[in-house]
This record gives sequence, structure tokens and C-alpha cells, in this order.
Amino acid sequence: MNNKIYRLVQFYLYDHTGIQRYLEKMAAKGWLLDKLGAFWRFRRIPPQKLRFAVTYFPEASTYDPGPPAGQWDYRELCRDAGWTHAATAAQLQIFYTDALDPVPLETDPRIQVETIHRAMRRSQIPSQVLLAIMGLAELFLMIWQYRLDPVEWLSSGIMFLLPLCWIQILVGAVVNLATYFRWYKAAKAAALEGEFTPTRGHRRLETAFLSFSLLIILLHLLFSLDSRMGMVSLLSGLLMVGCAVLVSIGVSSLLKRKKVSARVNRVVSVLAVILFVMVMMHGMIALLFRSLRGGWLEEKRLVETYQYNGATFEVYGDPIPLRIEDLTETDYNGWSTECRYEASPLLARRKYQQSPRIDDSGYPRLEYTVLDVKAGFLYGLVERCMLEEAERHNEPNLPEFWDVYVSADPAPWGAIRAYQEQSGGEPRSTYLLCYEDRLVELKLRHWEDSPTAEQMQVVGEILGT
Amino acid sequence: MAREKFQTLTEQMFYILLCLRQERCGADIMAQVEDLTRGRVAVGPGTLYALLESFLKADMIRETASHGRKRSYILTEKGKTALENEYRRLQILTEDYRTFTGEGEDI
Repeated sequence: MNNKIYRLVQFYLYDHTGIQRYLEKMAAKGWLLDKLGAFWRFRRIPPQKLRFAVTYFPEASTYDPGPPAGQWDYRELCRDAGWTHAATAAQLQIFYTDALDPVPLETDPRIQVETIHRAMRRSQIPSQVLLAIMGLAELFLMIWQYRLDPVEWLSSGIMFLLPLCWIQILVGAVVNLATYFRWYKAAKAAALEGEFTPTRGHRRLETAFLSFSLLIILLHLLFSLDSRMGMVSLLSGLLMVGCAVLVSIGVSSLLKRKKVSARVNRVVSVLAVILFVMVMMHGMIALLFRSLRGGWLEEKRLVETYQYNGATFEVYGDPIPLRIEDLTETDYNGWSTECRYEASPLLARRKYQQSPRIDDSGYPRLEYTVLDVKAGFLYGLVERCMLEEAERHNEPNLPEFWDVYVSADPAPWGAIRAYQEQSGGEPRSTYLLCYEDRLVELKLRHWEDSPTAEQMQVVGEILGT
Repeated sequence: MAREKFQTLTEQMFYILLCLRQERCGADIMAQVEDLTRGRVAVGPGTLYALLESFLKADMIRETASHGRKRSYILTEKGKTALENEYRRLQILTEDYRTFTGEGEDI
């Protein structure tokens, strides 16, 4: 039978009433708190009715080598009053008693509110404000990135999830601060009348936030299943965060054992984490490039490599739906075919290309992008973005040299709408074809003639469905 | 105008300072206050710790001895003055009460 259990417990720091109630329930079930940390540790006791008291020591820090002198005096006073110390974590102290009618630890509500506020000002308030600012900054950055290239953003599963992460962090921080200040305002007013104000628990909210974080990680995993690179990126990121936390705890614990001051401990621990993250990132990037070159992470099928003018070039053999051979007769067999796939619940993007070797001139090149719009309401936006993409670099040039899409006859392509790119008024072999729930951007490079009606029909039959 | 800290004392502050007219440690203070007030006023250890620290910072008390974790305190002259001022304030309140209720005058 286990004599110790660990629990992941979610409470706001100031929620002394909630913590007390929870610990009293655990004691009634036969578990007594004996250590606070990321997980709370409980030891087995005979089930009993215990009273718990949560107090705060604002001067304490998680980096203290040991309890500050004043904290020992505090515990001594509590012991004299019949309260036994259960556990302490930085500013949070928990005591219990089995007396039926003990003198409470706090008998002056003004002092209690002031002490809690000092503890919150030193730790939670600055950290939550920083998180909220980071959340807002990241969201603004994402909005800016979205405006730069909506299609890239909408088709990335990761970019779809990142805003959810940052929204959760922002909302979590704001809710934490808002619920605290609401309690603080009411408690300050009540304290003037000599009354204590219990805190209202938000455990369910905290649990919901934690569950949401786990869901985002799970979704990220699911979106990465068909991408080795995506899976490796996610796992590497999680590993790095986990290891950084362990480094922080390890360094801090070591310095505490060496009785180093809290201030030095904090600085060294933070520097150790920064250094670790920098080294880890450099190492991961180097490993990534090596893996790409070595082929393990390469998601394209490498057929062969060749040398030309002192440089190395690759030939790939990814399966692609539309090939040059479907459109024209050719006896060339040195084609390289590549496919890149990205998808989110809103939009899937597949980029294909078929190209000859660099050292073989005179052969055509085929590039096309297939966009499957999963969320119908985005179709118009995606079409507009693709049309505007052609005009992106017009600005420094005179209007007569601008690139622009103009309407073309969709019928030969079997499409709903079709556009052809023009550069300085001259037609180019770049087309945007609109089908139901799908858009196709087709680029025919180094083709001798414009596509024939037959070729257009083949494109429509292969790519339009 | 903002009230100066300790310009008026709460009951708990008053009784703690009263007890410290003699040298006492924290546990004795808690017990003495309860005896003095016949259980009417109780000072919790958390509140006592905070008030002792505040009184120390305000030079109203000083530490006299330290045996292990047990620290003893006693009033300073400043603390005695604050206590006397509070006593006089309470006397004024009492006299005002007697004046108005003694003459039966409606306020």
C-alpha cells in the first residue's frame, strides 16, 4: 500500500480558502500534505478532522537557501499557538491543528489582506503581467504575420494552434489578475469593518486551462503525424522546455544546498537556463541540418545526386498527380519531382514541381499549387490572396510593368473561374483556376506555346477534382 | 488628511503594547492578552508576528533577548508614548460619552 501520493493541484496563490478546504478534505480521507512543489506530496495518516491555515511570508523566495530567519520565528509562534507546520513553498506556508477551537493564525483582517497583497506584488502580479504582455505581443505578431501571407498562415497546422496557446496564456493571466483584484478590493473594504473575506475558488477554471494546454499539444501531435519534420519539431520543443525546467530546478537546488544567497541564486539560475536553451537550440539546428542532408528527416524521395559547376544537386522522385508527360510527349527521363504538403483544419496546400536536371537545358518545367479550402467561408479570402500575390512586388515599378491577374475563359479548364497572369500587359503562362472547394495555381515555365484546349482539359480532369 | 500609522491603535495593537510594558516573548503575549481580556480579544500568531515586526520597524519596541527561536521584547519610550496617547484618546471618548449620556442630551 502506498504511504505517499503525489497530486497535481491547481490553485491561485492567493486562494487560501480553497487550499484550506482541499487539504481538510484530503485529511478526512487519510492524507496529510507534507511537501509543496510542482506536485503536492501527501503522506498517509488515519483519516481525521484537521483544521488548516494558509499564510504568506512575502519576504521568502523560491531561491532562498533555507527559510529566512523571520520564517523560523513565525513557525515558532505558530507552534506555541498549537499549529503544526505542514509545508512551505517560497511565500506560501501551510499549518494544521487538530484542536477543536484553535486561535486562528490571522486575527486581524487588515493585516491578512496587506500580507497577501505584499506576497502577490512580489511574485504573482509581476509574472502574470509579464505573461499577459507576452501573450498580447505574440498575438499582434501573429496578426501581422497573417496579414503578410494569409494562405501560408491558414494552411499551417502549427500556426493554427499557436494563437490558441497564446490566447490561453493571455486569458489565464488576465483572469488570474482580475479575480485577485476583485477579491482584494472586497477584502480591503471588509477588513475596515473588521471582517475577513474568504477567497472564491477557481480550481475548475485552472483545470480547464491545463486541459486545454494538453489538448493543444495533442492536436499539434495529430497535425504532425504525416510530417516527420513536424513531429520532430514538436518533440524537440517539448524536450527543450522540459529540460530547461529541470536545469532551472537543478541549478537552483544545488545553489540552495551550497547556501548561496537568493539574489545570486536567481541570477545564476536564469543565466543557466538561457545558456542551456541557446546551446540546445544550436545543437538541434545542427542536428536538423545533418538529418536533412543525411536523408532521415528529408520528406522528399531522393533518387540521386549529381555535380554541376562545383555544386551538388538532387533529383527527387515524389509522386505528383499531374506530370509533363500527361500534357505533352517527351522522351526525357531525368525529371525531378517534388511535393510539399501543409494542412490545418481550415486549408490544405500541396506544392508540386517537375523540373529537368540543371545540366539539361531546353526542357519545360511544371509548377502547381493545389489549395483545398476546408472551411467554405474562406474561399473568397483565399482566392483574393492568390490574386493579390501576383501584385505583391509591383510597388517600385511603373504601372505599365506591373504583374496582374486578368479574367480568362474557365470553360476549357473545367473551372468555375479562371485567371491568367500578365506582366506589363503581356500574357504569362501562369494561371489561377477556381474549382468547387479548390484553387489551383499553375505555372508552365519554358513551354514553347500556350496550353492547348486539350492540355487545359487534362489539367482540369486531373487537378480540378 | 491621511492618518499616520499607529496614530490610533486597534485592540490587538493596544493589548500587545500593554503586555510589553514588561519583557515578554511571543507565546507569553498571546496568553497574556487572552487572560487580560478574559478571552474577548485573541491575537493569532500570524497577526502577532506581523505586528511585532511593524512595532520593531517603528521603534516602538525592541528585542531584549533571544533563546533559540524564542525572542523577547519590551516597549521603548516611543512605544510607551504611543500607548499613553491611545489611553488618553480612549479616556476622551469615555468622558465625551459620560457627558452626553449623563446630561440626557439628544445628539
